[in-house]
Amino acid sequence: MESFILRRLQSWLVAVLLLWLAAFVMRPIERACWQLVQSEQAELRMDSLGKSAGQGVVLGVLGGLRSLVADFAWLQLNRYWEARDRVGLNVLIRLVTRIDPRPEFFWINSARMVGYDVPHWRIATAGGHALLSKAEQGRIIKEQANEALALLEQALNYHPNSARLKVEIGQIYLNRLQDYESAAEWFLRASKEKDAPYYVARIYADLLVLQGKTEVAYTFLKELYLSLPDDPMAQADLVLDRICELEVKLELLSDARFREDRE
Amino acid sequence: MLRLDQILAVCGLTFTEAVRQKFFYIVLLMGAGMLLGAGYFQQFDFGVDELKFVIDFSFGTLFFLGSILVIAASTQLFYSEIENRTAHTLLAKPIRHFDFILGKFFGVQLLMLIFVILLCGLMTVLLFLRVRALPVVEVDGLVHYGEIWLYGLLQWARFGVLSAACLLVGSFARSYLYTMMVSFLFMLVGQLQYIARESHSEITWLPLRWLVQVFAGIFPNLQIFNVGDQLGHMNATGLTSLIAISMLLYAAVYAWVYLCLAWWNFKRREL
Amino acid sequence: MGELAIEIRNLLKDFPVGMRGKQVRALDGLSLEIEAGQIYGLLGPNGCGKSTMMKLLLGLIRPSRGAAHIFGMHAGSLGARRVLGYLPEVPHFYRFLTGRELLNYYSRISGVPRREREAQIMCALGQVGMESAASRCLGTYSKGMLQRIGLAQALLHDPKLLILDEPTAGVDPEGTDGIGKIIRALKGQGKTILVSSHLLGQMERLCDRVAILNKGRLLCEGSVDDLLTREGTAAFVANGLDASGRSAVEAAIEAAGGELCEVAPARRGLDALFSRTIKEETEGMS
Repeated sequence: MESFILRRLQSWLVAVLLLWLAAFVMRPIERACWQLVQSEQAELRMDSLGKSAGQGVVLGVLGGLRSLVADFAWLQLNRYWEARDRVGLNVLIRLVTRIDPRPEFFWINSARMVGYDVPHWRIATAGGHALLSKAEQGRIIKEQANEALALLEQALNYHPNSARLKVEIGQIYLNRLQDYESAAEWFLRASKEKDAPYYVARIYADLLVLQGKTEVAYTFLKELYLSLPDDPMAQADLVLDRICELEVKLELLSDARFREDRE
Repeated sequence: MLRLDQILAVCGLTFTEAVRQKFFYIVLLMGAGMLLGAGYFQQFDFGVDELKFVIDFSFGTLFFLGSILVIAASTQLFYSEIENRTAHTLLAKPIRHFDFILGKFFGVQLLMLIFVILLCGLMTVLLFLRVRALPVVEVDGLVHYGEIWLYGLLQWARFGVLSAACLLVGSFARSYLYTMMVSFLFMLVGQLQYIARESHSEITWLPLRWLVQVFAGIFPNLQIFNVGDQLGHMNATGLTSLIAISMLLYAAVYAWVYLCLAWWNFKRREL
Repeated sequence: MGELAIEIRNLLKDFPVGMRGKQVRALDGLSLEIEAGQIYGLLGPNGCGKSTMMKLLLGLIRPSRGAAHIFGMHAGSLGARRVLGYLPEVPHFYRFLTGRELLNYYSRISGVPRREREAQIMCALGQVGMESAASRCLGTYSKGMLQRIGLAQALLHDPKLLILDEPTAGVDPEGTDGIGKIIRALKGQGKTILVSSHLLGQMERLCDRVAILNKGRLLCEGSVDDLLTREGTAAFVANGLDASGRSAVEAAIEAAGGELCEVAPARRGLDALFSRTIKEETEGMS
């Protein structure tokens, strides 16, 4: 009996040692390949795997099919949205973004639902806009806005250079929290991304003005105007008009005005 | 020369047996159906553009169905020899156990090669037709067709690791179901072992840390073959030849090690 | 003594049972020598160790103790497997192959050179009388045909030793008779045949020597004649004797100092009756 057990142990030991040896020898190759794979798939390179383990499982098991599964989960999510089921919606948002965190669409639309729609549901459930105090409504709106922001910041882990996500964050700060300073900061960040629309920088300047930082806005717009490409979409004339408006507002003398600078 | 002929004989019979099974055609038809249906499924897509979705979906089909097929075929074609006792007659002949294992392995790999070629071929044709139908003037470069075949090659290499692992499991297993289940488990662990390994540094409890290390050593990191996001699509970054060769080498070494272990076990196994 | 085809020394085989590896003894110190050129029968009840012994000779299992040699080579070694052919008790083959394809496959496995392959296949098919069914799928074969094609695959590489495990199991008497004839013909070609069977009548007629095993131990071994002949006795088969004739014979035996042990009508075996009846029927129809 002993020899039988020993034989089994021997087999296992040989197997483990050989596999260890293979793993040791192949480590440099595996590391190089793994780094490349990770570089393209954010969910594989999260610093804290606790957050992305679920995605890793889905990715590992489903591979490319996960996009389809995520799409069907998104359809289900919309049913919860139609039914104004907040709990279901939150669960499905988590599920969809974990199954496939690649499409920005999921993140942005989820954040809009959480930040813009859910507050109305909650207020309606609590008695409606007419009955519920402004303070309580504000608290709910703030709470939901923060949830949406958390979602979008999570999205940035996967899409760190996405202008759309940064604009969305800026919009929430602006429209839901009326936090112009933070909104401006995010619009500025967005404007620096490669795929940023031209209007983002103009909104940043407007937000500076709203904060009373007119001179900073004026300097920014001047620099922006000079950096704009020769593209009708860039709407350079619009920027120039804004510059003129600010010059009037700042009561600048004609020799200090931008048009003269250019000459 | 004699050994090669023996290996080829086992390989040929294994392949013939495999292509005679309905399961192969069912999986193949499912694969073809899914690829053809990718355009339909695309209507449900909310995230990525059409071609990216179709490529993603096609790669996923190859990855997913191929994994099922390779495990089912390897298990069936190897373990049935033991269960039906055809191995008794065969191994009473002057054939080395290793050659028998190799023959089985190559037979399954030949089957998987056919599977990969058929699906990649269909994928290429469907994408070509889709690209031509797109309302864009510049269609060149929208799909990197060569990379579709590279993905197929890499998946084929991954199937090789899985097949060799199945043979290893079959070499000591006592039932067909056990072989199948353990092989699937092996694939899951191989796909997901990186999660344990990446969180290795966060584990403070020493025994668990050791266990994770042992796991990471025993199972290959099959996730390195998950390069669907890097290949095929217009914006895909592609793979360098060095990385592609490295991946093939990685698969070859692991397949070889598993085959050696399968031989070691099988030779010691009492039939 | 001639060349030894099989030499078994103190063979012991324990099988582990269950997870804890409890041992069950299948062979218990078996020693046996089988000369080349014989038909050697292994007899014994189910579980006596016949198949275990054969598997040990084939190298499909390993002994716990002791050793076995085939023509001087370690049992199970490639060299030993080159000189033997094996027919399992229930030959499971690939049902989708034809008889010829199966033999071609096994001839490749057996290492028969390509140029000799076709001739060897034809020869093996001829030896077992399966030429006409060679192009049919094995799935359509009867049990007897499967046994025959199994025998053919064992003969492909012209082995010196044939190990046949219950070659007539499940085969009808006619088929059994046919297989018996093939075995005798093989002996005529100088091959050694180790055969196990439950058909004692057939073994008696077929084998030169037999061994009886029980619970893994050798109970007796020797030539069939030696084992079956009662020392100092003789049997007479007479035809046409009436009562007085019988009395005269009995008196003669007594007078010669002998003792009459038994008087019984002479009987032929049931298998002989069956074979003759079928043969007569077939001849009558033709």
